[in-house]
Amino acid sequence: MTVATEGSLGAEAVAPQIAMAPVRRERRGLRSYLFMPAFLALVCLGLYLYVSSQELDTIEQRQLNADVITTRLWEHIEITVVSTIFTILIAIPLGVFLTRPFTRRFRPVLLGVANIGQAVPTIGVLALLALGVLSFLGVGIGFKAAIIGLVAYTVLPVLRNTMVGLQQVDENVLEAGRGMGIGKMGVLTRIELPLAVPIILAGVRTALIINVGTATLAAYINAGGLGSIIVAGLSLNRINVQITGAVLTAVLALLIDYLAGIAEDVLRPKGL
Amino acid sequence: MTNIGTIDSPAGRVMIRLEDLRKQYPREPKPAVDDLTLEIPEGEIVILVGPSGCGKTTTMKMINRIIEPTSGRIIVDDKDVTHEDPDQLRRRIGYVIQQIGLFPHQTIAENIATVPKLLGWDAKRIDARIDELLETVSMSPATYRNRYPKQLSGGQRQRVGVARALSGDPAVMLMDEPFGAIDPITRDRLQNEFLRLQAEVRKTIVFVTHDIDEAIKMGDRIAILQEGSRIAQYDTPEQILTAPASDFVADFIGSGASLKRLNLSRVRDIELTQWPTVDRDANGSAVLDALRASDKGAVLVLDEQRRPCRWVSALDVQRADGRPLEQVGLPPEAVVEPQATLNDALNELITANYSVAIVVDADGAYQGVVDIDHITEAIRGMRTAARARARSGLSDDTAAVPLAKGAAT
Repeated sequence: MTVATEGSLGAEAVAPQIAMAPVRRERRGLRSYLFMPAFLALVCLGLYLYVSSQELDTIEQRQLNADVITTRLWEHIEITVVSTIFTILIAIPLGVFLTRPFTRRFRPVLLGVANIGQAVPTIGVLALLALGVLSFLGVGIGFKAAIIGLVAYTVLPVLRNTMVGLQQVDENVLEAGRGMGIGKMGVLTRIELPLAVPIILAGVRTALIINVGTATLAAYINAGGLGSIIVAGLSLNRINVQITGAVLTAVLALLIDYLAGIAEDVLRPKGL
Repeated sequence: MTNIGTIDSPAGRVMIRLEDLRKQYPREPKPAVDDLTLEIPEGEIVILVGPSGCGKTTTMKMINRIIEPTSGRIIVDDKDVTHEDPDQLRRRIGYVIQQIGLFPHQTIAENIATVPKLLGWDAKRIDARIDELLETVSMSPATYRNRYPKQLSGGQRQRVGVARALSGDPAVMLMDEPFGAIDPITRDRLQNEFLRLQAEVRKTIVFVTHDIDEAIKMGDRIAILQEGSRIAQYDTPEQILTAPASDFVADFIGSGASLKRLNLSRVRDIELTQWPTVDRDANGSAVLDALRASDKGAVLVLDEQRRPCRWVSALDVQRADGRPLEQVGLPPEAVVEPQATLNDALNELITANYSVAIVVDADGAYQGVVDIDHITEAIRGMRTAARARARSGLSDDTAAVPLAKGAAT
């Protein structure tokens, strides 16, 4: 991926991510809201019945019990949520900053840095972090390293969507606002940001999905999560453990995507 | 070179005064606005009109400092606002742009409440103001308050845009081609509505357009601008049409100046002809009586509020077979309001049944009719006046008609 200049930013950034959240979608019916949780519950039930029907040896029993699974699940959710929160806290203010007229000059530089974060493969980022950079800085491996790696990776989609979301606001709407005597800050908070919300949320949703999936890799740097179950299954060569870890990861990812979708529906300003 | 447009009527107070106003963009050879001095009288609509790129919009946008002047002074209501906090200034100046720029995520009520909220009005006063303004622009508050802009038609959005600009009750309004993006029929109606509204509220309005016909129709005074916002002529529409100050002005007005003059006379300024009318529940013989008493081919049927509802001829009565009058004959077309121009009336009556335009008041009640004789009479009157003016130089004892004072170039 090349450094995005202002011109290329629009098309490149919008294309893959907007597709996930059509701005003019009608509110969904109750039935479509109920489908996904019901489906996921069925999958979990199926997994439970399958695992119960198997005769588990002691190695498997050590992995597949409620205690371990709950702990791993919470670790996974924690990594996902914390990294997404940091991503939002960094990327949205940065996106606002980079769309102000006075930052035009260093916009390409900062976008370039953000691009590097995403261009390097995630596992590479995590390995790098684990291998030295962070221990050098005194952070060490584990939870913190995982968060830093994930945030570095997901700042870009949120940053780009924030910038695109702010730039697509109709110039005339802004002029009307300024012309009525709304100050610069008021125009930003009362007009620009609300009108950019659907596109920013699409970026946040993308980051969330990347985080929930990539958090699986955090197991390799000793940060826990559902990835630990899969890794254990692989190293112990126990197919049931692998399946359980994989299915639970998929269910969690789908559930979080589903919840993010609801958040998008609720938070989108009316009238758009 | 001077670039000065002052007003010569001592009665009117100057509301906006631009002094040596200049806008020079970097890396442009010539200034967009070249040391312009312009006086805008209180309570009038002043039109800035000129070819595209002449600097008219830049000039207007310097009044509320959306564009900051390079040099010069802006005086609004006897106060130098050149260096005032622009946000405070803009809250006192209504602003309407062509694309309207309603906030799409806010309801109509919230849109209109923008400036009152900034001015710190209490909720009750704001609420009352929203309802009042929606009524003013002929939109029912109950229906439209809670709608979003995307649920409105283009004409309705423009009405809301005007209501929003009026919300803080500003003394001054700036309008940048406000009716430019609207279809011709709706534009005509909105222009008439706006003139009616202006007759009530008497704001000082600076109105930018590139359309000389709109300028003649809407303006109390017109500034025709050349490149660099240089004033080619600053005068009343009558003077500009009858005595263009330069070839540039004459070219800009274009051909058909005498027809354009029809845009200067309004239906309310002429004496209307009366047409035979009957009530809606009158019987056929009443219609025939009314027709016998006149030389017309049909009577106009009015309802209880005296609104025209049908043209009925003697032939229609014979064929009625006991049907009520409102179900026979032809529907009334070519209905105009008193503030419509004679040009509007002419356009309507040319295609109308019985070759007349029906004039109704704001409530739709019948006032009279305009026919082709009125129009020719009006044209003849204008010609006579123009000829008298042209010949005024011949005799010493006739005072010369004051020519355009701003025509300095």
